[in-house]
Amino acid sequence: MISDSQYIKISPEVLSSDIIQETLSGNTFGVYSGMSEILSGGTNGSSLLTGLTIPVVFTETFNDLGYYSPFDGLALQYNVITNFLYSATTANKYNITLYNTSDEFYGVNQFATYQVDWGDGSNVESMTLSSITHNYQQIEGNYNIKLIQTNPWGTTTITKPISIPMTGVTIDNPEGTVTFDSQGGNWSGTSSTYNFIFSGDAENTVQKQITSNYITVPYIVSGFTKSKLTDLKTYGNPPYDPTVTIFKEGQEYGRVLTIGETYTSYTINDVVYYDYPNGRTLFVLESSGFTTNDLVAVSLTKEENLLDVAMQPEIQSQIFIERGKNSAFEGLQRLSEVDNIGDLVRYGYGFYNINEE
Amino acid sequence: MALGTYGTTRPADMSPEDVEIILNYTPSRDVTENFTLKKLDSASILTPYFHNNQTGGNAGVEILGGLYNLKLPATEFNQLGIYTLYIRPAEVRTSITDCGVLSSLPNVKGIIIDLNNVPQQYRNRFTNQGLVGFRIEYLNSDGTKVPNFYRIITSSFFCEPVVTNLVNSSQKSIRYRYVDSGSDLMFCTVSPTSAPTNKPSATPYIGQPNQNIIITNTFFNPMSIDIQVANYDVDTLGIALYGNQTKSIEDGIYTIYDTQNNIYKQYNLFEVRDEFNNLLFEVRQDRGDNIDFSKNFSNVVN
Repeated sequence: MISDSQYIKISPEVLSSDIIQETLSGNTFGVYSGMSEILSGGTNGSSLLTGLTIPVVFTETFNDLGYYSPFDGLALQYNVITNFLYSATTANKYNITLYNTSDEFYGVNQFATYQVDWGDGSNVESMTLSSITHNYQQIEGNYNIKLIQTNPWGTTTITKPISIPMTGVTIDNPEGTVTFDSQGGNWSGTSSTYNFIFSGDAENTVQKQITSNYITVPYIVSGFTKSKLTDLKTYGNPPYDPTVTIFKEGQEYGRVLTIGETYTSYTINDVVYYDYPNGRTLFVLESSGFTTNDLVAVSLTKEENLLDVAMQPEIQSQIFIERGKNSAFEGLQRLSEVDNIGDLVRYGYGFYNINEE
Repeated sequence: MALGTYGTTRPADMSPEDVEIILNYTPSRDVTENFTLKKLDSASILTPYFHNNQTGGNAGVEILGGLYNLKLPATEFNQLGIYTLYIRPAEVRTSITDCGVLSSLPNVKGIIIDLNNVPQQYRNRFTNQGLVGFRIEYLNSDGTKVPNFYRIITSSFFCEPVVTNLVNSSQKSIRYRYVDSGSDLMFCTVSPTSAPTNKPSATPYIGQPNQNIIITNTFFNPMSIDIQVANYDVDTLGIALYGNQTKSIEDGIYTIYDTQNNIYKQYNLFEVRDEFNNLLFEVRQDRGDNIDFSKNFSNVVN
């Protein structure tokens, strides 16, 4: 933000009210008063000025508020991506089974390996199955169980406390629903319920965002194109039937309107076509404003430490791909079938040497 | 090479209610103490210009932008001297009700403001996304202002508290979620709130519950206007030097006229002599309000 400053000097000659009109011998002329007289010449020494105004100019120096970058979908806390549950049985309250729930939501963990630190000084165990059991050897106490997830994007550790022996735990909200009273406004004091179970609250789909209040822009768009009449051709006779609506992939596609000597008209996707005998095809449609097809839900996240910074996207990877042996039998089109590193390993047949660092 | 450039200064089109005007008067430049500041009512003395049929916009409806008319109230500008007008965005004084996170996105931190603690005339600014771009400045408990420190509001939405069960008991169980309306609480995210990646523990300070804050719009740049009310300036001297002048030989009245032949000043010219008729002084005496109207220029020269 910048600041501005102005200087204005007001003296008698810039004030029309400062000149008092007098008439003498048929001549009308003005006589100046001194500024001091103007400022104190009114009743009880008040100012005679009534309409003193000055024009001022205000400007705003604006800055873009932030740097936004789209990301590719669901926003999840890291302890949702990586998480675990544990339980014990009534028969053995020192035998704890840990259930790895990390893969529940997303496939980003498919490269991950897991280790469990039971917090009692025992060795850290690798976890290859979805659950693992540990015995605390009848030693009572409070421990912290750690699930350590290691994947190419880093190491994530989730820690949860546990009291041994593990007895019954009171679950306040077994259904995962909390009830609360609104604190203010029209809903003040009204009880509401909130589903606390994580069910993808961050889901952001077009269907959740659209509105039907679109404004139609009423002007006609027309031009010449190639005939698309054959798109409406049906089996059997007649091949073009004005009474038949053509569907494609479950959606209404088009219909023949009229078949005549001067032209044949038909509509495809709300565009009206006229095929003329000279081989030309005229299309006509009305323009429209935004429709649901124009809306794409893109989540935005703000990198606050990049305020006022614009940079190109950068992909950082610790995976190096080395060109392997050439084979005349290895079709290059195979690359298009491979969309992740796992596929590259499995379907590469050694074509690439892949080192993970 | 840049694809192009864009300017970052635009004519402001804020409402006069978004403006704060503070007046300082001093009779002369050498006054160094006892400054008396006074707040003027911006809504009554600041008026935006609107388009007319000549300027291309919607006449009388569309604000011209940038250009405002500032009326100098006669009750304030009633003495010779220097008036300094400090014009800045209006300040909204309130307090932080709570600092919290969103229930569904706990990494989104923000401050919660209770609209009941906001002065009535400014509550209409507190709408969903209505505070974006506003600046927050903080006050210490002793009333002093935290200097050189502010945060920018990046979003503002109505919210309500929700109770959340957490594994870690050291975390707060009250979190917030957005509601469309019907709430007096506003959740404002500010920038920055995230720790830098090179020091993840350095979470930026965004305030604390019950702390008094000042919320300011950034709709325009602050400015100061120095208005000097004076008897003379360069134009006045121009009249004295280059304007028409008459000197009445009979009564010694010396008259100075402006470019429109209005009587600007009138003087008596006379000599002071001693008893031996020796000339002691030649005097030019300001006649003040005692103007001899018969010396108007038309009367003299016609």
